[in-house]
Amino acid sequence: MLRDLKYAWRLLLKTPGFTGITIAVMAIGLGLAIYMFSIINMLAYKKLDIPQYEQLVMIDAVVDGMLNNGGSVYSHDFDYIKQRQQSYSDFGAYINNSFNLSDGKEAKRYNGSLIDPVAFKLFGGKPLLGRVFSDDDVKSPFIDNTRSPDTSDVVVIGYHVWLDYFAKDNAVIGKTVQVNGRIHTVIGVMQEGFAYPRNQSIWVPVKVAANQQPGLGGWQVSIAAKLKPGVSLETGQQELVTFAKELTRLYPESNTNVSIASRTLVKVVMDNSMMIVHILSGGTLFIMALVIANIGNLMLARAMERNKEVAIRTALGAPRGRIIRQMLFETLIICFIGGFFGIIIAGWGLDISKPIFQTFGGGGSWWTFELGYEELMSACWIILLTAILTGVIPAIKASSTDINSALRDGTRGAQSRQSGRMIKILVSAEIFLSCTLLIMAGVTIFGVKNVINADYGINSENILTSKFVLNTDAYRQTGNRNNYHLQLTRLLAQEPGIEKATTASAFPGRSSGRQSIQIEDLTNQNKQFPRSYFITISNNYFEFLDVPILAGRSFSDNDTRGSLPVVIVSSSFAKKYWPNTSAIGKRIKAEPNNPDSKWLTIVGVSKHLVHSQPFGDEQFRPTIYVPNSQIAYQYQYVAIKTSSDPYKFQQTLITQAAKVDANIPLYNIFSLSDRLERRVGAMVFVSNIFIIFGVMALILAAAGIYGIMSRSVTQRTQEFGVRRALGAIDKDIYQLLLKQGLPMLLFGLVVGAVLGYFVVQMLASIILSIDDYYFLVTLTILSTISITFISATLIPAYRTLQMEPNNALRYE
Amino acid sequence: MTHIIELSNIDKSFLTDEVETLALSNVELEINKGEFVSITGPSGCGKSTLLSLLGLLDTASSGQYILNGHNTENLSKNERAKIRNKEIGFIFQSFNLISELDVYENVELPLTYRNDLSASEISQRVEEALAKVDMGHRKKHFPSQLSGGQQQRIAIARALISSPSILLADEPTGNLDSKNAQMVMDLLHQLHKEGATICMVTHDQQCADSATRRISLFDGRIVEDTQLSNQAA
Ligand SMILES: Nc1ncnc2c1ncn2[C@@H]1O[C@H](COP(=O)(O)OP(=O)(O)O)[C@@H](O)[C@H]1O
Ligand SMILES: [Mg+2]
Repeated sequence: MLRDLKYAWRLLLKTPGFTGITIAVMAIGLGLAIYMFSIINMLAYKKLDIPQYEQLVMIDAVVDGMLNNGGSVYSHDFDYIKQRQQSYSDFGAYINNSFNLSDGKEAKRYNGSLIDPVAFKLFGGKPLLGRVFSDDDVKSPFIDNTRSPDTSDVVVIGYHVWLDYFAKDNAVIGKTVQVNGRIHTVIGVMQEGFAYPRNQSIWVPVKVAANQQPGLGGWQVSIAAKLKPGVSLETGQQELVTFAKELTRLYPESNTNVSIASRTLVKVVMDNSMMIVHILSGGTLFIMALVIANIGNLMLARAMERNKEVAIRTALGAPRGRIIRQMLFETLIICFIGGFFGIIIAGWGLDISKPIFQTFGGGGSWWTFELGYEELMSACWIILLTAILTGVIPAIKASSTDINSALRDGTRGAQSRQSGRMIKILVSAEIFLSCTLLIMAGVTIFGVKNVINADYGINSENILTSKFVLNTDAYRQTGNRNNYHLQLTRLLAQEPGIEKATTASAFPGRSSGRQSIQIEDLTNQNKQFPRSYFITISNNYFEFLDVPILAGRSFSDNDTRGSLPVVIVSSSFAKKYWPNTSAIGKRIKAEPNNPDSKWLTIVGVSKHLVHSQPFGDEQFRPTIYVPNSQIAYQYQYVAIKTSSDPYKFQQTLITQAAKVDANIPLYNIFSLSDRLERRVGAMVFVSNIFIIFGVMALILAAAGIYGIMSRSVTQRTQEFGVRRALGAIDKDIYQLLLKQGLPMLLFGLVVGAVLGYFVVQMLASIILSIDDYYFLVTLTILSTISITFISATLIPAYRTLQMEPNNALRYE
Repeated sequence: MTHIIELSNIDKSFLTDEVETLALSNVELEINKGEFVSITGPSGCGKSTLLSLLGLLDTASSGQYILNGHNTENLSKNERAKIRNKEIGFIFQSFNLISELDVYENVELPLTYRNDLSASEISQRVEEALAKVDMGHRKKHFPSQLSGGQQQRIAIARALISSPSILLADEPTGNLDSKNAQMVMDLLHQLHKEGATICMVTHDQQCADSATRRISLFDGRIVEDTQLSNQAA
């Protein structure tokens, strides 16, 4: 054994070029595989360090077939199911949110959760200081229509807040702090690393009471539950779906097309993007298949050549078993050295990816981008599996080829029919794998480019934006909120370098949710109302963005709490409901099921702006705008138009906001351009991965096909010599090769293109719009691969045809 | 003028690993139509080299080669291929059949490299050639399914298919047992009787002596050129 290993090592050292290249290919392939595995595992399959993690499930609503990412189950429905379900031993609600922390001097905003102590316990966290919640910490349960679910006066903080806001104060327990403007006592600090359900560092206890009815814009929750022992996720899920159907029957107005789904905690963050995980996994598998095929093939060729030598020298039956073992050892050495470098490459890739992922926002706290124990163990498995596949497949092939008879064979084909078939399979496979990967890569690259250059309907240059949330207690009235907006924008606009300032619940690229809309005089039998983006804005919003009002007027100071409720609709909205008449003067109602909802009169029609991702049907969705003076959402953005680099005004923004109210922190400060870019950050990441896939696929396939074809052609040198002796000219030989290669090429291209098409369709449903470029990209890729294949065939043929036929006949 | 082949002052040298081997030197040779020439000599004396020059499989380093009255010196690659195709039939020691092609396709091969024949003419010719070597019953077999003697007969049929001016055979019996070797020699004599011009390299003294003319090579030179008494009937 050891001797064989040493011998294999010596053989590898004898051909440093070959060894270097195969190790490099292996390292890159394995690096990519380990990197992708770590990312995919992190995104979708990681086993978190939570006691009885297998039994923990997260439950959310599925609205119109789209899984909602948290906070989407009507609190009524939560309670309804909780009272009746049999599958779960614990069933608790939570609402992920962010909170303003302030001590009257300094305010900061942190991610946190309003959470039922039952749910909090499921994540199994231990306090570093103090204690966690008990049921008594919640004063009274909240019901749907209460203003705030928070009826407690205690808070548990995470390690991050303890560090960042309390400077690791060891005496923090018992101290008070304002949470969203209400005094709370800190009762516990969680250990470092505990940040569940997603990436939280403040927890406020809540309980949900039984409600009369779902819908009506009340509170919506997420659910954490623990499966009873022996109950599977699927069984629990079936029970949930049964309740969802029941609720749809009972409350068709709010619950039509609403279902419910349960997932592991890790998958919650991915919500509807699991498809991308699958596509990335598939792409990685394809690349690995290419690597394995290429290196396996190289190793086999090497072993066969040596084998023939040995057979000739000994003139005995070739000691095949030993030669195969030798080849396996060489493969193992290459895979393990390659794997070692692969792990380094993967670690480096993860390092680079961390900041990229952070810009997407909203990742899980377990998104660590490190090669931990779990990742390293998996890396070892990946390397071992690759080594086995790379070694075993050619070994099997070698053992089934009768080398002795190949030597005795007097005919001139030089290639046995069997190895001919192997070549066809290998080459077709390489063509098809690379074709699929390249189509995937090409289409996403162009798709993402389109998205990045997308037109949201505005000029986003030199605009700095920040989020803020007005605390419930101090800003209960719309008037109070509007005052804050007015003061803040006035102060900002006075600053030198700032041209204008505005506030709104959403800027293009994002929305502040959609509302059901009732159109006056439009009969509506089943109370199924169309939905529209609903955005609350300051009066100068359109002027600020340089967006024209196409008909009617903009909001003015005369629109007040007491005056006629007014609304501006987007041209897309106007065109949809009044294609032939003016929309001005028509009346609509948001939340028509809510008895308090008032009729809003349309006073203006604005140019259409994109308040979603800039592709697909979503980009055409209509929007309505209401003045902050009449309805002001709590969650708002403040924006300033600056004369130069907007980030230079970051501090001004913060200082002026603190002057208006020191308890309201500004957070998430970005230029509008960056915000729009972050909107597509995940897509850019996926597209970059695809570029790597594509480049690797092209290089591997080109090298692989060239290697196989040139060896096959070289092996046929004698055959070509015979054909030339019989009168074949060069053209005849080229034609022969092309005729024999065409089926491989066509098969690979057709399978690859069809598969590529399906993958692209899947991508189209989540991240891209597929335009006319698809056809062109595919065509380019098909021709690139064809040209590569044809060159790989003709170039080695050209070389052998430079020989005199006599030499070709004598070629060994 | 019935000379098919006229070689004058032919030299052929090979350069391998910077060592020059003079495989043929100052070869003068004329071969007439209807002759059956055997070429003998010790291993490495240049027999195969001479044959490959005759067959336009290689070019001489110097000297002149006139084939059927045409100087071959300035022919292009394709013109040489065309002459090989129509004027020359090759028979190799190791048969050199193409393993992926069946018997019929192997024999047909030279005809597929010209485009002046119809499919039916081709098939007729293949049938005739196979009949001549008595292999008409093995058309669909692959070379690996045939014995050495059978393979060589297929190779001869292939050499005959274009009705060449000359058959060049390099140790055609070298890979065969004596029984099969005799069969192949009988076949060549039969073809010679029917008018074929044959030039055959052989180790075997008896085979060499059964020709109408015997040439001996030594160290790249012709050292003997004897007319033998066996004449075609
Ligand atoms: N293609 C070639 N390249 C280099 N040397 C060659 C080549 N062909 C023949 N020779 C050399 O030329 C000499 C004559 O070879 P060859 O004609 O094959 O001899 P024979 O057929 O008489 O045994 C030998 O020394 C051989 O090594
Ligand atoms: Mg010889």
